[in-house]
Amino acid sequence: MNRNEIIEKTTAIFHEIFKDDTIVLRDDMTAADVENWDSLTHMLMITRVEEVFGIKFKLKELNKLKMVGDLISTIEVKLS
Amino acid sequence: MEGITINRAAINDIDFITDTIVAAEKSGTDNFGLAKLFGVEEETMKGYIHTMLDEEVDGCEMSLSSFLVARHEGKPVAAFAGWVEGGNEGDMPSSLLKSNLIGYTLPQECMLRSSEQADVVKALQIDREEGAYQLEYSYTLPEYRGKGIMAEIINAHIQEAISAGCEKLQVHVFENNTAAIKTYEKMGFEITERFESKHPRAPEFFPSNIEYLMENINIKKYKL
Repeated sequence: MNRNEIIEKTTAIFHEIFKDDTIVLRDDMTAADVENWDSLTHMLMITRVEEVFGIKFKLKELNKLKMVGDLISTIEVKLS
Repeated sequence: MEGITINRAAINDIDFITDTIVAAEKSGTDNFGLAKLFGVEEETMKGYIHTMLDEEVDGCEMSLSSFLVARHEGKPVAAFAGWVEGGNEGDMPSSLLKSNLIGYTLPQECMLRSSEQADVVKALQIDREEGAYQLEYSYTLPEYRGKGIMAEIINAHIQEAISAGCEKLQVHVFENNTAAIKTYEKMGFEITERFESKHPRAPEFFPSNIEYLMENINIKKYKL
């Protein structure tokens, strides 16, 4: 799966979990930029990402995913 | 109080810190919001908290390393967590570190249950200011209350905040916890914001449906 396909699937997850179909992912986007991205929806988003991509993050990895770009890159590495 | 020493929590304090978090969550009531939110029994949630404290995550209220512990004759008698908001390795908001810990530790069905309760807890999810020193989860054993031990721990946190270059401290406190509010006021804190949940089920989850943000913005004066 290439980076664009990962972004496409992650965008769909963001639309579903944060209940906003207009979200366009940017590498420097953080929780502060997305209306419904709070501590509860964050857990659901991570769970959904793991489910959709069939991966499991380590706790150390999760705690470095501040920006969407970090999330996409980590998914990319885990799938390669 | 004489004979009290204050230092950072270590691995053999996990049991006491687990009790601290549970007691602080309940704040003198029977409402254990975390257990309710994730739809598990109190003892089960306690077990998860114990596991989370055992992870090496710094910079949130579920981090063992955030807690300062007061000891009397070597025995832990009081504890209070404090950290610089966003000052962790990944520059993450502490709320997301806590979420990651919970998401990593609890089974998936608990996450889904919590999403069903999102509306109840939303009004009392207060944002923490980046760069401000945060205090959370305080507890003193009943027989050690009224001896100024918590004030000593808060003072130790204020010194930590100053060393870290913070300009203010923040703490969230429920309206029913008048003893804590008094202690914070004595230590230079003032109520700066009031949050209220009008959700009919809020009383099942929280010790009170009113929560205050208290701030101490005068810590610079301690530098003199």
